[in-house]
Amino acid sequence: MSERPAFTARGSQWLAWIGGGLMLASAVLITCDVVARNLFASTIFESFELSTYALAATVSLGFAFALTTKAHVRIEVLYILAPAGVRRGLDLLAILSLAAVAFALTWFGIQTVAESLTLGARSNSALAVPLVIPQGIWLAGLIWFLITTTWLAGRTIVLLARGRFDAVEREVGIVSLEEEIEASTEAHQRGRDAQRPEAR
Amino acid sequence: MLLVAVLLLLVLVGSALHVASALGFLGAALSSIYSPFPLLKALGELMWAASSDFILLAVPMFILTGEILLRSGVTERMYDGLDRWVGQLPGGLMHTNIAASAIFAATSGSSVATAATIGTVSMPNMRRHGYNPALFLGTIAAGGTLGILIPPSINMVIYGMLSETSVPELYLAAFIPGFLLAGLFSLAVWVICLVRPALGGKRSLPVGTLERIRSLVSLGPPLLLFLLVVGSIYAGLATPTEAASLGVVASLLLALANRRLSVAALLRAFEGTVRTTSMVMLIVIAALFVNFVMSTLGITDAVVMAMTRLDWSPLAVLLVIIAAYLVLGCFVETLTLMIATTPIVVPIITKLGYSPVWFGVVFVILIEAALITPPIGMNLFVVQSVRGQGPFRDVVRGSAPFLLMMLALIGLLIAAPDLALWLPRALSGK
Amino acid sequence: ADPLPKTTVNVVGNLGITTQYKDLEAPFWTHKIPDASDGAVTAKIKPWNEMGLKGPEVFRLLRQGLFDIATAQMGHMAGDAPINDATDLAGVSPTIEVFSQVTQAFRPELERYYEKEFKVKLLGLWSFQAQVLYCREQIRGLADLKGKRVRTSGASQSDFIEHFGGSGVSMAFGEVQQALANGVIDCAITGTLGGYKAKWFESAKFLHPLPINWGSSAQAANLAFWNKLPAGVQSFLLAQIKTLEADVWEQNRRENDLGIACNTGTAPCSEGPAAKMTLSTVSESDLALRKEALLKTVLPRWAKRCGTDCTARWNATVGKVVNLQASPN
Ligand code: NA
Ligand code: NA
Repeated sequence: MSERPAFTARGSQWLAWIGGGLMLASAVLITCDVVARNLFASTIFESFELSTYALAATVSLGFAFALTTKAHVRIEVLYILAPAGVRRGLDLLAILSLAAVAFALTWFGIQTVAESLTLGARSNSALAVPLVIPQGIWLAGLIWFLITTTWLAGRTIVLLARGRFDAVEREVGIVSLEEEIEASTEAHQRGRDAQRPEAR
Repeated sequence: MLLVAVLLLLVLVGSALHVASALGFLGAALSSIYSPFPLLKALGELMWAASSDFILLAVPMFILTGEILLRSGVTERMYDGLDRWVGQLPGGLMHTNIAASAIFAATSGSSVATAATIGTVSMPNMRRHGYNPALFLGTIAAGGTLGILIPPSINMVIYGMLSETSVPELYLAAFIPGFLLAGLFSLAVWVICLVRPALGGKRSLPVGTLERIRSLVSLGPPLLLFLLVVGSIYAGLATPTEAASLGVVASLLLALANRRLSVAALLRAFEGTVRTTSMVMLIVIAALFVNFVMSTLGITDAVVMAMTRLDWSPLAVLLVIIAAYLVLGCFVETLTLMIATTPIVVPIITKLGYSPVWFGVVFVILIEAALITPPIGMNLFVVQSVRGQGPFRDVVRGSAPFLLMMLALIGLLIAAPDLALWLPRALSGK
Repeated sequence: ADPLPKTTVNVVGNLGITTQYKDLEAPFWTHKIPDASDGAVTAKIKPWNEMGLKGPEVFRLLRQGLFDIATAQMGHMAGDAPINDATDLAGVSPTIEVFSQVTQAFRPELERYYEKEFKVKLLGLWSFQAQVLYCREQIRGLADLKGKRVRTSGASQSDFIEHFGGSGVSMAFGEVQQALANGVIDCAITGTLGGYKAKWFESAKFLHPLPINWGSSAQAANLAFWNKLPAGVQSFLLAQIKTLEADVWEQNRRENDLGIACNTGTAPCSEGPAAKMTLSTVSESDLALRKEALLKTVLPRWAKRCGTDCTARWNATVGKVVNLQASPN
């Protein structure tokens, strides 16, 4: 098994870029609409409605990225008291549980989209957008989250079977204080990088 | 049923599941044990409704603004400008830290962004001017928490959404307490440095009035951002979410004007934004689902009834709730704490006769406290990370006096609720 | 009569802040139903907003069997099915009496649609008070809506506002008061008493009492739940809900004028201190403009959304009552 970032990590990063781009685009559209509304008493883009679809897409497309970068919160009060072996067991339990949650989200997400499809549901506004379009994109993010959690759960099992406890800790363990500090230093570092674009 | 719910949650959270999983399993378990209805089926609709909620769009907008501002170079100049004004007080640059945090807080919705930005700018001065590290770091960690009290605020947007309270009203209510808390922080520094001058480091050099006035130019960009993201709401130009979006565009223009933004840096900003937004939203969705199950089963009502039947005075219940948050705040990540408990606590608070707007302000101060209490205190981590060396306990110790100031402010708000409620009332002409 | 078999019903009620929910719907299910059945039929009720729902998803969840019976605002659900707007198109019913006739005329069509296509059993249809304009600045007539931003709920109200050159803004009920105060919107539409209860008068100083529509709501049961009920319980519930329905209509007839009185202080207000909104008079030309908006914009756009079959059914029922014919082209 290679130590190169897995396809899930790389794919999730791409989706995060798309999500961020959607948010920036929403901000620009909303700004145009606010200006137009206050100057000419009219709106141009229906940004109010479109940006809510962008948010839904960003949120679900980002679930997996938050996982691969260990952002999803776990409470570590008891965890840090447990011996290392138990901790790796808890890590497995956590990733399996999250995979189950991702499955439930995807399953009921499918139901919602299917319902919109059968009803031919449209947004209750002047735009009358067929809801299956934004909901479909949103569902794609949920499916990617399911793929990522399942893959990580499988990988955790394999790594545990091979006794690679350190790798398990690195990939699905709780962020340690050092890592937490490192992650925020990275934000700090990034501030400096901005002045040296070649750094990345 | 309530007991089962609490025990189940403790077990799930205690076994270090992801918080969203723990909440999700709690909801699913309660529904399958106690309800004849397939409540799980509501998950899809609830999830879509929450993910496409215009109010919550403010959350990524605030984070993106913070990520861009961190790279924009605006803060350095503002910091130097403020130093001309407050740097000669006993405690020197530590007042500058607090003032800069307060001003930055008026443009940023996040405490972590505020602490990281001010920390990055001010940290080099700490060593150069011989400050006591603990207290100096404390001013940054605590000052950073002003980010969520002084409007705009991510936490208030989420609180407003979950408790059905108006966000503009919350912003107005937090305005006076926010700047009051900044004043209390400065007061603490001043008193400590009068008692123990050694902690104070070198004061900044005195500067002439003309130079002071000239330095005000550096406050221009933050002032512009404040006018956009907060002023535009009360000028009737934009809703809170629209205002947050104006902030993104303005910070982007500032960064471009300062030639500080590369494509790579923008992608990093996107990553930071999406990471936090999706983390928050997964918990919001899980919490809304649990709330749906609990209110369908009547558990929420049962809790509220039980609290009111206790026959304690409203003040006693309030104090118990505050104490509980102080304890929980030591261990639980703050947004999680806020999201998971708002649906239960706010009905109790309103039943007791307190205003949900007033409680929103108290709640945010409690969250601020949680940000600087160990072992899990996000702002402590951020400050330590920016510092990059030295013992973590310095930051913890240096933040303690400011924790006391937060408690003092909560006491003031209980004694004089109008500190929060006067401004919204005055401006709505009630 | 034989005692009814023991039955418990799980009910989701209409928007919890309204007098309709507090004074009628909640006591109906928690007291009247158990009393009238000698304790055989009991119910739990909770308004949808207190369950964290927003309105449009209520009947979707009902049809999936998450509750037994639910009440929801039909305007919220017009996106899922435009037929939900059929009884309450903006401008069709000038008075609550006409609205009542329109509702009764279309009821069999809704019953059929709900049961055959949506899999819920329609139990009751009712309204709120007249949906009227609350504005920051004086509106002397509908023509003054030009360039105004107006909070609307549902596509038919938006079409109505757009006809006059205004723009419809969709916004959660709870945000409206502040948005009016800050001038983010110029006007907002809701019921005469609902707006008083939500204190809109604090930021909107002008009330234009011309009824635009009536805020129709429907109560329905999950079809599987309903079909499994013993016939005795079915007829018991239908008979009881008929009385609730009559009570709601009666309440809205009463509260329509009461709401205007409470907002403006022009007559005694039993709901609290009267506010001091300025009441504009409805002119003849306004009545003509309302009709024009209906004919030129609201009706054609809705007919297009709802389709040929739906429009034909409307023409054969509501159309006969109000003497209008819609065409999807
Ligand atoms: Na802030
Ligand atoms: Na803490």
